[in-house]
Amino acid sequence: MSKDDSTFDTFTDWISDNLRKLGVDLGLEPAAQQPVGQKPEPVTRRVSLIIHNPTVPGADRQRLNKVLKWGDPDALAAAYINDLREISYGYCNYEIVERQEVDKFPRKQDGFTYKADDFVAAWKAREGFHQPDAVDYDALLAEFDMISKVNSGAVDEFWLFAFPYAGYYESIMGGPGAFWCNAPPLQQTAHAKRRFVIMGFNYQRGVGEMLEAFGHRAESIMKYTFRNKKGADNLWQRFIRYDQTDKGQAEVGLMHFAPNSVRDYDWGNTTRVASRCDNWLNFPDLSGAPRIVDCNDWGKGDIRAHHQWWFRRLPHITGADNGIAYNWWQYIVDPNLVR
Amino acid sequence: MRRLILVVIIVLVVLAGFFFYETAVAPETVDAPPTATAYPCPQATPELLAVEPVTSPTDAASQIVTVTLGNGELITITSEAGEVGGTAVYPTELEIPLLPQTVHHLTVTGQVREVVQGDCTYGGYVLTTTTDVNGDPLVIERP
Repeated sequence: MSKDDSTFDTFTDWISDNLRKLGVDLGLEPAAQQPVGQKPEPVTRRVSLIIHNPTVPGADRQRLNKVLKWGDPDALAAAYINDLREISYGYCNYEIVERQEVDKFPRKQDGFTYKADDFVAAWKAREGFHQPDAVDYDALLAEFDMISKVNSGAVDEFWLFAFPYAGYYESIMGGPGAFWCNAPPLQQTAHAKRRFVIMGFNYQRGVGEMLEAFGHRAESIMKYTFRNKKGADNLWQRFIRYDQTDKGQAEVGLMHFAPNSVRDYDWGNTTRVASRCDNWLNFPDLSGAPRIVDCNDWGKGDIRAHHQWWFRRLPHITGADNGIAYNWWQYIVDPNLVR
Repeated sequence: MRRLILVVIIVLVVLAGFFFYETAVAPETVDAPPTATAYPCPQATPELLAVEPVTSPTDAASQIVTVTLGNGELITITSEAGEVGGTAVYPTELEIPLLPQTVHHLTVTGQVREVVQGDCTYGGYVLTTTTDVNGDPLVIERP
């Protein structure tokens, strides 16, 4: 370190100390003050679970998921919570603090609302679905009093559950400074006191697809977290490398692309490639040699197994460098921590 | 004198911090949406490729296999007895031949139709499975 660097560090430390004495929040990550390499303290996030599962008059008023033999949203949510806790090494704990099962279809952006019997008929014919498909988020925000619940701290995020063609984004972010979260931010919620995420799940599908929705949320948030890091400092860009885009330099890949994938969702590819995917289990030491991998490493094409494998490689320890925590989960779970 | 300059800097930083915090984090009113921002296309989960359970063992010389594929275009089933394909409908029922004294390991492939939504293109990919909707292997034995 040069004399100039030393003088500058002393100067900035002195300013930081005095600013703290003045009670000014410097916005430093708590992780920056923790010892490196420990298991971070687990967090609990409060969830409002909103299930659009209307009764169907033409089917003895049974719920839609029963009529069409789809999954049980409560069981799916429970399995998803368990998966997230396990693959985050105990860090990520979601708690459903309120549950509402709604006996109607959500309103679309153009005001259209399905009638239950019409929807069942459309599903059986696989045609006649309404376009535009997008749901009316303004209506959801108002009906479920989302901003008030976020502001009071009662709820940290919302999980919407519905049928195919519900028109939800898989995830979308609201609140001050909200950014792309696999969907354009909810600009109309900028007055909220903090950022929040609304997930959109489909009870026709499984936990693997729910993890994928969470994975796209993770991709969006981590890309934004590292947006000002260039070159080797951008560890996110390194994490997502796969062989097709970075020949011989594969790391972990993306949700849609395992280290050897050649197209979207190609998790069952048997081609053997070199990858440094396991070095991320030793983070921040990424110096290990690559090893040869194929789909046998991540579940032979199983969506849930691949996504669990991917999430387990996200950095998940205490410490920080370059202003970014070594526990990437904290940003994904709480976007308010993203600077 | 040097300390005085630094104190002035601190005061300026604090004032600037409060100013930017108030305006960037907690605006009282919501302005009109900013001009259109170029966002990427949302990433989508793959369509559902579901195969109903098959019957095994069986003495029959063929068997109907039922396949469902969201936005399906084409379904193909390959096994030790060869390849059978057809246009995806709902549901797609394909009759596959079965060879005597053969264990057939089925691979079901579905081509998903390409769909354009605004500036975003979805579909146009291939899904493959070797298991049924219950996760059991698609294996048919004909003694």
